[in-house]
Amino acid sequence: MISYSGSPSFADAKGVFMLKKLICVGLFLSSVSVAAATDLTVLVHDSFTVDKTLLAQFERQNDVSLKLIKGGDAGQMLNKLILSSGSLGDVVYGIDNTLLAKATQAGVLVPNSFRGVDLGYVALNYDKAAFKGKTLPKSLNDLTKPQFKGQLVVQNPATSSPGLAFLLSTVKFFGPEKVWVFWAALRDNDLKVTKGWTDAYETEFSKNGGTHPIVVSYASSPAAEVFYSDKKLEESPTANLFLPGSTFKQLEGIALVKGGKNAALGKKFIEFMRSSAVQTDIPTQMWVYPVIKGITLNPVYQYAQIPKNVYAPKENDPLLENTDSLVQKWVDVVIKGK
Amino acid sequence: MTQIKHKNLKATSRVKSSLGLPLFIFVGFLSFALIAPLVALIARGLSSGGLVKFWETLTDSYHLDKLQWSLSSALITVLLCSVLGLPVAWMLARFRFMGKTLILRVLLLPFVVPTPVAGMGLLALFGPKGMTGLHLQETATLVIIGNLFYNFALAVRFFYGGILRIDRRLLEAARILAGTKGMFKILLPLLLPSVGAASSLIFLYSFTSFGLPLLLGGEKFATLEVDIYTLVSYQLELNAASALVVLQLLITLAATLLYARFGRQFATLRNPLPLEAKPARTWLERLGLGLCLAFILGLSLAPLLAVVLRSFWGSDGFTLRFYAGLLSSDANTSFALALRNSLFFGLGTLVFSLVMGLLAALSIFSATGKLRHILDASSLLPLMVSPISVSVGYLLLYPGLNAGLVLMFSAYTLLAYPLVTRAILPALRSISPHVLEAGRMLGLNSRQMFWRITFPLLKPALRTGSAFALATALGEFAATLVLQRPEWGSLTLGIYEKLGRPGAQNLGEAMALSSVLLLLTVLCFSAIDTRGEVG
Repeated sequence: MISYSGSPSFADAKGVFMLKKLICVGLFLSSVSVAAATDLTVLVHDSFTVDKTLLAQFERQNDVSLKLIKGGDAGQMLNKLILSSGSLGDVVYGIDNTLLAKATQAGVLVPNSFRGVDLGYVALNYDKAAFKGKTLPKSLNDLTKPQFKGQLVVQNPATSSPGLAFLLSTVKFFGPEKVWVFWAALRDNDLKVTKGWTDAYETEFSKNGGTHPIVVSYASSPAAEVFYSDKKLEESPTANLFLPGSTFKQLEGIALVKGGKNAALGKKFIEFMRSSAVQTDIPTQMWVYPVIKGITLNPVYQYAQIPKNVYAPKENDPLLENTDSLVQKWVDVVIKGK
Repeated sequence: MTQIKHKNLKATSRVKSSLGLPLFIFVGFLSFALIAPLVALIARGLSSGGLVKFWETLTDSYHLDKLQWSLSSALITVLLCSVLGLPVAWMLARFRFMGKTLILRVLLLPFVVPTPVAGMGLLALFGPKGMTGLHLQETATLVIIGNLFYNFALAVRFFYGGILRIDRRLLEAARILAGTKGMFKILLPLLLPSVGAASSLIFLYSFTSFGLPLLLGGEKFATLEVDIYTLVSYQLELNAASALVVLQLLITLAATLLYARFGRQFATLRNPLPLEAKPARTWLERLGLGLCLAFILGLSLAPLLAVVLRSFWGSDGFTLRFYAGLLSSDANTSFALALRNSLFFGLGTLVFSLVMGLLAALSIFSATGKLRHILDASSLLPLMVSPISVSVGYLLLYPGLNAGLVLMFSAYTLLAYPLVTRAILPALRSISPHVLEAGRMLGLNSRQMFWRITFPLLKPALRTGSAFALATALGEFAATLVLQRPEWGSLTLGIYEKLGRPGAQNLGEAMALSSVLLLLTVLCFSAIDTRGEVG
């Protein structure tokens, strides 16, 4: 409310009604925030979605008002948390295994409070219609051959978390030297790079009107295609292309923010996110797999496959310690052509 | 002549005496919402790495390449907007035809469309499978077309307003004495203030544009802004980022000062009798008008129509499923909430930015000497710096305010008011000192002078400014500046949400939501400008 005190000057120039309007808004907002005994602020990434009734249930049971703040995609969100010295929330959801080392180094999380919530598999998807009667690539190196020129669209790992996951899986597969030979060859074979997932999938992917029939996305995307189709489908228009070295297991989780208030409630929210109700809801909301065993998946998941031979780095994997320099090198090779 | 000058001075000083408060509010707002956060970012940047690294970034050939491209694409856009916008604006002002008001409104629509949707619309025409068959994706041409798509309306609306402020008796006299050519010789210099105002805005928008060049042209055509965005938002390289922010600011500042100087050199006319529109009679006039309309419709409307078409086109042909999907209750952000939020933020921003834009314009108008130059240039500051760097400043300075409405409205107002100011300034400068003098002789005090004389005379310009301010608020411009809350979900954010998931239904619903946004915008514009006096 204090922050509105600067506005009488507006009222002066534009009539008193402005001030009245502001006061109304202010009262409305404060009435919302005093409705429950306590607030719990949860910083989430833009893709966060949990059934509203479940969230309301949590609020009722714990006499708490949840304040969700969207912080951009996972990478941006963590940076915002770091820049504001951890004062953006009490709990943060959406930090994955590629970001955990950075978050720990920056000291924005309460030590050992990180708990996994869901699993995703970053993988190549292809447009079935575009490959009808044609052979699919058998290896990542095939993608550098003239036959597959201009077929692949990837996200820039500097600005996209699936892009980063895909880069990491190739580094793991080819090794720290050869991987750049691969990327340089890919670049010379008319690789398309986009800023983020939306541009790659909704604009460049041939299934949605673009010209590139292979895209970096998730192993669950073919199932989502069936779930969100505009007519009843017998099979998905897209499929996974599990080439060796092209898949990455992303573990997403939730943690207490250092300096956040009400750690007890925060822990309850962490438990809530791992409860069977939320875990059952997650697969068709955020299109990732639950971490808790024994959850029945929605039948639409028959159209998705879990990749074998996936790169699933542990928390202390050395590759995750220096993602920044890998990204820098990638930018040098692919974008700057050095 | 001297007497007029004398009176002019008196009238101005009369207005000025009441302007301490506007100046104070304007500068205070700018310091809070822009200058302090920017200083915080640069200070933080310098504290990690110091000047040596700062300098290394500035001399890096990659960044300089980006700078060169950003600069040249912006200049080309400005040039094309002027060359193409002037004849179009002239035709619109000169001739009366059915649907003119609607066309002037429709021209503004690209302004509100989120980048990915604009990209899809343009690619539907010029992409690899585009209807024109041109396949311009990944070319500089398409990037420039994209810039024109967003900025052409600005040029036309500003030129149109400028033409209507010119006294038609003067144009008639010139035409009688020296023919049509002579008339244009008179017309062009008189339009320079409007050209300057529009060009400075278009330059700033194109120079700092970010999403569309990347989408249409690929990494090759990434701007300096993309560099800053990546450094700030993902790599947390605040030193390098602030070096580029300073570089960007120096260039935009130089460009703006140049225009401000340029615009002031040409006196504007007072008490105009505006040009009267007449029907196009000769075949040449009809042809010219037809070409202009075809150009406008092709550039601004066709890509949007492609989006609307797609909202009705499913995998089995015509469908209403996407609209039905928007209304279904299991949507995450309900449609009604998104609509209400868009209106709330749009109208709130409109009110705030009208006030702030007016205060800024009055401050600039009444200031003298160096202060006037500084104010004139700094009123455009919000468009001179990259929004993303300001948002980092917010995180550093006001972490507590970050997910609050105060900062939200500040951010929206920050990006919307410069358009109001730019629209008002030329109109303010063209108010005759005689009118003010008369008001003063009738015993009006300064407040009465403002509400009874200045304000009514500014109304047409305020309408133009309002339309742009509203468009800014309805679009995505400010949404990136502050942290969002799910309960604030607007139509624009809803579009992004839909586009963030696979599936034909989501894509279709995103197109449907975009179409609703376009319709809402047209309705809002119609409400602002009820009498059809677009100017």
